[in-house]
Amino acid sequence: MEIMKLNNITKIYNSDDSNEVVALKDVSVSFELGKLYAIMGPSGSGKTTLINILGLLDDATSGEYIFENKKSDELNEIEKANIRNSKIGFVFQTFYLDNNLTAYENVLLPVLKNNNLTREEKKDKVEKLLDKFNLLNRKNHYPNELSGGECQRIAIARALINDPLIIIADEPTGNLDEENEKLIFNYLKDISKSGKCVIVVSHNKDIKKYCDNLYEINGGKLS
Amino acid sequence: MSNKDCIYLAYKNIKKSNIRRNIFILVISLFLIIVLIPFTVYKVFLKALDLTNELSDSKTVIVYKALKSNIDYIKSYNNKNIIKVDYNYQLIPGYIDYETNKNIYIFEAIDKHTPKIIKGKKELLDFEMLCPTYMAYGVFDFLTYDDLTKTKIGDAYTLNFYKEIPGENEEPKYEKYEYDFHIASQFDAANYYNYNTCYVNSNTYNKIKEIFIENQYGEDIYIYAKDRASALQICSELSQKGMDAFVSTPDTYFMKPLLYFGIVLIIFISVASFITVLVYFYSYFKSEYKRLALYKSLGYSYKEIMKIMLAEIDILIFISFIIDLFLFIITAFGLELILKQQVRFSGVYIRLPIIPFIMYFVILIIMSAVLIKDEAKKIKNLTVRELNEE
Ligand SMILES: Nc1ncnc2c1ncn2[C@@H]1O[C@H](COP(=O)(O)OP(=O)(O)O)[C@@H](O)[C@H]1O
Ligand SMILES: [Mg+2]
Repeated sequence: MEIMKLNNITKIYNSDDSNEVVALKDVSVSFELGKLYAIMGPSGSGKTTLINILGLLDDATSGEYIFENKKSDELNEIEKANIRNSKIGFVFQTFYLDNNLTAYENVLLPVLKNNNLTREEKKDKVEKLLDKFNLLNRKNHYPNELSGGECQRIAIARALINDPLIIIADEPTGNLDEENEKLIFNYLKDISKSGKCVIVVSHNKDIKKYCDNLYEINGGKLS
Repeated sequence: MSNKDCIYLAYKNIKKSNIRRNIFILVISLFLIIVLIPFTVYKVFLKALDLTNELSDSKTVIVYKALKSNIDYIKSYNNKNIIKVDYNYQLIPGYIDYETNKNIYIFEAIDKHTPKIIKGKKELLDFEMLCPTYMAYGVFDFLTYDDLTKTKIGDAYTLNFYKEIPGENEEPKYEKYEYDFHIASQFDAANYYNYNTCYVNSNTYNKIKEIFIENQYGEDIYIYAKDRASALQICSELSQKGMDAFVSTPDTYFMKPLLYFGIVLIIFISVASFITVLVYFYSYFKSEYKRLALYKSLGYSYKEIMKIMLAEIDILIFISFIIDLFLFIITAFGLELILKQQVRFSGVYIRLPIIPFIMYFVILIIMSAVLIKDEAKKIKNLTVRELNEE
């Protein structure tokens, strides 16, 4: 089932001065649930720009982005935030955990703003997920007390906590050793099999073994 | 997001000590202290003025020269705020030590002209006394704590009164009169800066006064008014009739400028605070935009992120105020204690000027709520690109 669709998306930075950069050129692509997509491309090719647009964090200069049958330019800031919160999970290269929060609190972060759940329900949810990722004994540790692999598992748990339809991972294994890398790719594969749309941006050729669809991006052009 | 969660996130972030936050707390506490100083001083004087206005002197009109015309006019002068007119005022010293000039003064207990009774009877019987809590034979300016003795209700007190009589060879002779008194009630000596004045009922007073009185009329006329306002009014009315009337007035010329100075200071400090809050937000964003970008990617709207930032700065403001409150209480307590070692300052009360305290707090809270709006655009522009930067 199609969940996201880009029609002729172009993104130009600094379009009003001489430093103009065309980061995406006429990109048309659609994403479906239950599949793992890999996007590969050299540095500066427009991968992060694409993720920002898919994640409703940035607007395209021209073109149309349809999220669940709704045009992105018809959504206001609050609606976009709510979609990011409940339907999209992000995983970053540097894990990006909040160092002031414990593992538990980091995973809690996306559910915190959900006023429909009680404190107990939230706690339950977080602990179940931490358990699934073998992190329950680490729940009160701060990120600087944890290994890279553990941090990335926390980051994935955090991305999954609201049971989103889409997982977007930007170089999720960039800072990990081979063993942890495999582990993460397997997790992502399992997630896609459970009916979610997983988009992985990576330099790593190994992703080819796991993905259902592979896109190459070069100079803002997707192929 | 609930306010509680918002404050929780802010609190978690503040828990990690950081230079920017410490400087902010320091600067705001300093500003608050600067605001509080003139108002505190003003309050001390205001309280002292209140006490002074309560003193009998401040409610007594003195008319210079008990001339016949003045006496006649005042006898016919009708003013319901006059409690008593004394045509022959006599200061009556008891227990006189002529060598050291030490004595105790006896006054008539006139309603509204006696200090507030803190313990004991309101109505004095004959030869009962209203006394200061601490007594000394002397004027307070020259006293030290060693000179004071604690009084106790029920204690007996014997005072000698001397009447000057012409002796041989023009040498004055003194006739001694001895009376026994009982302490029936007390007033707070420190509050009235008064350690050597006692009050007796009119009957007793007149009995003692009779010893000294030679003439029906004295030099000046003393008019006891109900309160200070009436005293001032009577004074001006009598002055208009050409009399030389007078009410003792404390110096207050510096009070208003002090108040204005405080208000100008609040305005000045508000401007400085405005800049401080602006700089705080600027440096906050500069050093913590990654955390904010993370919140944004996790689905927090720019409004919620602003709320978290606001909660943080408001907690810091709150901490600054609590710190200053403690500093103030400790300093005030210490100062009062030190001043109490010196009898003449023992009536100083240092109290928090609550209005400027709350006002500055409200100004800061409003200011932060307004200035956070400047950050909205920056937050809206945050993307995950920021999170991939090492
Ligand atoms: N905010 C921006 N302003 C100007 N140019 C930008 C901005 N963000 C990205 N770019 C440029 O857009 C191009 C694509 O960047 P990016 O999407 O980050 O590539 P990738 O993630 O593939 O390395 C690069 O040339 C980059 O310099
Ligand atoms: Mg990138």
